[in-house]
Amino acid sequence: MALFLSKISRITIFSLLSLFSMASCKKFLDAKPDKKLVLPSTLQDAQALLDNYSLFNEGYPSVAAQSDDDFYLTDIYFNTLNIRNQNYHVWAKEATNDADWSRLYQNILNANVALEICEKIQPASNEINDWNRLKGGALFYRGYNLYHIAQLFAKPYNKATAAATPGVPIKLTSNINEPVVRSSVEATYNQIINDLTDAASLLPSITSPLSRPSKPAAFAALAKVYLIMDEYSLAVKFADSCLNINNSLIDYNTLNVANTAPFGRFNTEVIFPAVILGTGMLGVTNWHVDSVLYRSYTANDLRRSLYFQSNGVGMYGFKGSYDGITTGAHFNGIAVDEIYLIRAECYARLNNKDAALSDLNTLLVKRWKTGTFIPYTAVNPDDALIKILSERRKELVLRTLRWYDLRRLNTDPRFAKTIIRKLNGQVYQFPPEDSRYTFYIPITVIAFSGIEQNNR
Amino acid sequence: MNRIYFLLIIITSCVQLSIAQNNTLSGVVVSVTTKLPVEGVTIQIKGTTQKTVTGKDGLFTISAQPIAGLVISHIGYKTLQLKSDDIKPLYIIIELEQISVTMQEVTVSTGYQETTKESSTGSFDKIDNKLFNRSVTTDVISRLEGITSSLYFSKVSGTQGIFIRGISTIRAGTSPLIVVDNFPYEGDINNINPNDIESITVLKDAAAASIWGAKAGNGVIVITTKKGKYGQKQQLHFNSSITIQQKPDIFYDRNFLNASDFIDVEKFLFDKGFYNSNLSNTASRPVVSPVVEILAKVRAGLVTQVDADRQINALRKFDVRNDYEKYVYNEAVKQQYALNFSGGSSLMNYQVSIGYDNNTGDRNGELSERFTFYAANNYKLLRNLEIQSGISYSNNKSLDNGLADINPGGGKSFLYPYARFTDDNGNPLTVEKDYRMGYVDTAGAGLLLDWKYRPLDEMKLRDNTAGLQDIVLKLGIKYQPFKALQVEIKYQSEKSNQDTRSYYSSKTYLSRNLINRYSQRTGGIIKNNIPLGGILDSYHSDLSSYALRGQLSYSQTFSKLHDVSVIAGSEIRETQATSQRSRTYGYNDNLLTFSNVDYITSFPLFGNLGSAAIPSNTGFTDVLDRFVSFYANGSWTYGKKYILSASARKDASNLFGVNANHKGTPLWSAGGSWIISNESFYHVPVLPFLKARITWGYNGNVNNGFSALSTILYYSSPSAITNLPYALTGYPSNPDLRWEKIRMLNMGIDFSLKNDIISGSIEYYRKNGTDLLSVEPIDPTTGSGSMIKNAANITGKGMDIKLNCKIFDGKFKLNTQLLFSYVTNKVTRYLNASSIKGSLPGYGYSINPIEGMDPYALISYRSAMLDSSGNPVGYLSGIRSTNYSAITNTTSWDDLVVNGTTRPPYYGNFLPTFSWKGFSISANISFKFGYYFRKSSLSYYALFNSWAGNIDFEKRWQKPGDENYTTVPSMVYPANSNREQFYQFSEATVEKGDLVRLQDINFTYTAGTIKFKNYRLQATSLYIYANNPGIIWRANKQGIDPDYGTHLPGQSAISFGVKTNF
Repeated sequence: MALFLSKISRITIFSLLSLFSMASCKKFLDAKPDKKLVLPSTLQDAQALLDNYSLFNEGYPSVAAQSDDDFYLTDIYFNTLNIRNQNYHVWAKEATNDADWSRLYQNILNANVALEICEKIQPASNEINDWNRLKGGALFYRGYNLYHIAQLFAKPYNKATAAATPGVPIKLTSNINEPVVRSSVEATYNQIINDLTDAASLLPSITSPLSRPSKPAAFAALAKVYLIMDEYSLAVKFADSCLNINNSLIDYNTLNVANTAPFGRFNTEVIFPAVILGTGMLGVTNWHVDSVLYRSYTANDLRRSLYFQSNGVGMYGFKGSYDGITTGAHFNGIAVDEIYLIRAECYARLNNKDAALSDLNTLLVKRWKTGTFIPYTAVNPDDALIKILSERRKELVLRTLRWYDLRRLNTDPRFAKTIIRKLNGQVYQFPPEDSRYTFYIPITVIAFSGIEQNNR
Repeated sequence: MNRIYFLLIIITSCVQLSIAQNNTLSGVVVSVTTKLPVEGVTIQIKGTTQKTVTGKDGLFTISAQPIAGLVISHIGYKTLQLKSDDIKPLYIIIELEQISVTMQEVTVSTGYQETTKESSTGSFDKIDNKLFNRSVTTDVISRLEGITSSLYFSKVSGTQGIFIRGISTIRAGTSPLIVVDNFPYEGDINNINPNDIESITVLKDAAAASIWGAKAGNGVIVITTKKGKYGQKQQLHFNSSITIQQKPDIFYDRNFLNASDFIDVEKFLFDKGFYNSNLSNTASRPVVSPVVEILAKVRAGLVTQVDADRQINALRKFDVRNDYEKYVYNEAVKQQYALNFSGGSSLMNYQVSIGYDNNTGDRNGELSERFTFYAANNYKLLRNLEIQSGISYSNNKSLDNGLADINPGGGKSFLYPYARFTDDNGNPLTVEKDYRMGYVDTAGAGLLLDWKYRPLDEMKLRDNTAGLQDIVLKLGIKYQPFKALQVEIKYQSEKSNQDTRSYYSSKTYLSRNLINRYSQRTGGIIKNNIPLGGILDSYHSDLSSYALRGQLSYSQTFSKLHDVSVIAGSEIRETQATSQRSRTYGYNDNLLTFSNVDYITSFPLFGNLGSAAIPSNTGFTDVLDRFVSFYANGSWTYGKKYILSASARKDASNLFGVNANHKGTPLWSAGGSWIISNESFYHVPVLPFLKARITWGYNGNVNNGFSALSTILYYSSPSAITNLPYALTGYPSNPDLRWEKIRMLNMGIDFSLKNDIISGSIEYYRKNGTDLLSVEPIDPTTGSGSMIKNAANITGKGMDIKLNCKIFDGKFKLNTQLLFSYVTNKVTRYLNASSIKGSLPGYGYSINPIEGMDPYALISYRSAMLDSSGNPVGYLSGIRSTNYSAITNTTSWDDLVVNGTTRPPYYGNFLPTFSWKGFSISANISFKFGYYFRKSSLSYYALFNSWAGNIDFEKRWQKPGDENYTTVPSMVYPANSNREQFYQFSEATVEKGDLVRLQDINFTYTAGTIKFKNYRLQATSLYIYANNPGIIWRANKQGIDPDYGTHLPGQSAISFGVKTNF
């Protein structure tokens, strides 16, 4: 009996178990739980990562614009702001900026993942163009985001001290276990330059859609970075390279001043489209342009009516975003006008007054009512520089560049400025070269990595 | 074994014998459970005195034809009557059902085996057919409310669900596993007709549920459907009911401000210049209310002040709720019809049911119909070989054409209170939607489509239908090579598909608005980028699931003392769910024509309202779950006194990857119980049954949302700006991800007093959920601020008490059932807590993990009520403060108060039933204690900006001294959102939740057999059932029903029904 039982049960158990033998079981269980989840491996995956518009073209830091001297807020509106935005606006020492750090390093992670995909692929001959474009795009994004991180979390670039001044962590892989260490300012800028230079050699001159990085975008970014580093001839070189491919300027006479958003997204001046993370403070109803700045636009200057609209008695909000919206998510990508201004400034600093004024006038003639513009003249290169910097501020309103410019111009007594705000009867002063031009590194980062905190 | 062989020999010889003697009937009587012959059974030919008694081998022979049928009776067994049709001419096997002598034996089902409650160690709760059918509902699950121990129903909008013994997870699902017969039900459980249900078993502790392994962490509800029985004569059962439900009580809603006060606020704001930016806004043309339009006309000199006052005062008397009540809502009517046939011969049995439900909804135009068909057949091919087959089919159709609450858009989320749907003559009126009325009046200069929104017209034009079909096929083979061993193979296949169709004809606002927005005007020519015509949105989803199980069961008694029962098996399951949605423009429902559109170009929106591409509403999903599992479960009973049980299960799936599948230890449980009353030394006549039990073990919980691999996730629709597909890197890979594990200790006592005067059980349990999936912060410099780890812990403990009392047990009967549960949970480890404690105050309805606290903790800003200017006062670092932006960003617990939990720790039901002759009345009274809730309160910011009113406006601080009577802050301009945030989530808006509710009343009259012409109706009953008649007592003094959060409470309903058997 017992024999019979054991035999039967052995047969049954065997046949049951063989139904789900472990070999077939493994294959069965290897199926993906969700088709949308992908182990990144193909060029298509790298493309999809780099085409993440909301990541790489949107959400750039707005804190610089909240802190600059181009605008003021009413007491009433200021009091409704949450404490984080209030702190940014009055340069509070205790202001923290964790979100921008996380966001910009998230972009770098995604760029690194795309780069790692490219590096694993030996492109076939028909894939080589795509491969170059993708690798170039990933390098561009890594360099461009590191540039933004350096403007917020590292001290302003100073050639003499750059090697000894702490920079920001440089992440070159997607490995989360790699230790996080602070590089020097010099190493940080070298990395930005390396990434953008490599990108420029790989990227195509024209991309479609425009949101994808292109060769002129990489050249333009290099020009921006070299300007910050006071490397004026290199800045001129890359501005040249950029403008050789794309130098189209919009004639503002063709635009309708009555439009609530006169400039379209992806307009012909845009080299690389990017916008900041929108915030109500910078929206058309709450942001009031500094009255001195507003008065500096003369009646025939079309920018006065294309950039600004009334938002109170004697108050004007900004509607001139190159992204065509007025909610506060303003354009802060790269456009041709900025590159003309970079080249003009650098020519002036290199004592080439005529070339400098030529670039300035080429730009401004498109900004004035037809036939009314009288070209700028200057007695010497310094005079030209003063005029160019004044026009630079007027042209690039709310592109977050004003704050980055203050960081670099404050070392020059001619352009150094103490910003003053009066809110609720209290006066806030922000002197040049203040340590608050650099943000604290997020506490969580310090806690995990033990890297050195900024002095603010 | 020998006995069976002996039996077989006898049976074959008997067959030969009976062929020889034509005039006699012979057969054998066996027990239905043990299949062993029963001696001493009386077999009597009906209507005569002719009878015989079975012998030792259960055999009998009776000489005479049983024309009128047979009556088979024996002490300790249920008397069986067989009709002559059921009696085979020569030889018959009769199965007799045993009546339990001591306690009524309760059979519970785990989905893998049926066992008796008495012989188990685990915590089971059985809902029998009678109790289950006490309430009248269309669905199965809601019938469990108030009759199932420890089951909690959350009805707060957004967190609805059922919870067995609190919660044991933070991020995974909290729903119990629902098993129908043997396999988890993957489709919509509402497909199942409650009339097809025989009983329900709830598996609460580790020993009961761990057979379900990685899916058992939230408890298991096993639904057992009706089956025919061998040797049962055909029965026809009919049940029908009609339920009428009240209209929702929209006047209950606290989120409403009367027209007159609302208008005064608008005038106040207008004078402050609040509307100036909206009135001059040409970028989005936001909605402006009629009163503000009038005020603007006065300012512009277009209307005189006198005329304006007259017009405005005329509006003060309107109340939009009257229009909602009159035109939108109606009394829902629910009809239910169910017909069940069942029966069986000695070789096969069957159960066939047909059901039809027809329910109208709370809003005009809502209708749902369900047709269900269910059939289960079992065949005995051989004495020891049974084939089981089953099919259940459900077809649902619904119309969703009720008018939803109007969201005016353009920044407003509620309609202004003086809105009207009709004029005095009943003609549909327009209300503001999306844009300012003045703009839509003139924008198109006659070239655009009508751009107005008329609620009543929209209601008539709605054309939303949905269909859902679900079919489940079951097949099983049960082979018993010998008595102690059983081999089973079970297969189930389920397919379900859903189609939702929303047709917006060219007359609907949705179509007209979209077409107008995407129109471009050049001179007198309009170019329609969205073609004229209707818009059709379609959604289709498919679900298919397969499961195959092989199982061996062995049960044997050794030496009359040792009962051993073991099952072991393996199972493979796959569930795949796919869906697709799409939109068609220019669709004509009569001709089935449509137009193509350009989804790529970003078009300027009409009137400089921005630019956008045409929405495509297209998307696809495809999700696959696969499981392979091995399990075993065994119990050993010694001398009917001591029971030991153990269970183990190992699951592998495609969710977590290789490590979890290979390294993971099986989930297991062990338990023991002791039937003290069966001990020889036990002599307590008042307490004839006493059992103690204890179990310990692990269950698992699954979250499909996380992957162990480093993946990128593709978005379902292309970027709105570039029209390209795009992806994002997900959480960093964590190859060690695995199931969540819930350890549970359960101790219980079951008892029964003499004659069952009082019987019941008391249970105590502790739960410890470890390895809970949670998001852990990592260095944000890595690019991922967090990763998923098995790192959070939650504990729980509680008590379930169930008491049944027979207070009177004569002609007049009074029975009561008391259910009482205590449960409390605490998060013991969670590393992703926010350092900004000021962000924690909220409504507390969803899980908010904070170490050391209840997951549903209700946290408030400490409040010092109002100061003498009507400002709410809080605390900052322990000092009274009105610095709201600092308070709402505080990092200190000192500035906050933990009021308690929003989930009642003490809850239960009291269910008395009186019966006399055929009448029976019962009422279910539920109670909940020890919890808190936050009432919805006034936000001036929301009132000004979104038209969101609140009844508390009438109680606001208006003059010094009011702070002694009210906690509602003064109205200040401009509204300070931090001040609102502080007040709304301060202690001032917290109330105690405790309540006692009359959940339902059932009145039933059961008649004996009724003769009607040639038909006999047996056990016909008529019933009236009132659901949710009302709250008997509540702790809050403001008439709020805390069980529904800030939403409208459930309405009362009354049902009338009839049940009969043919």
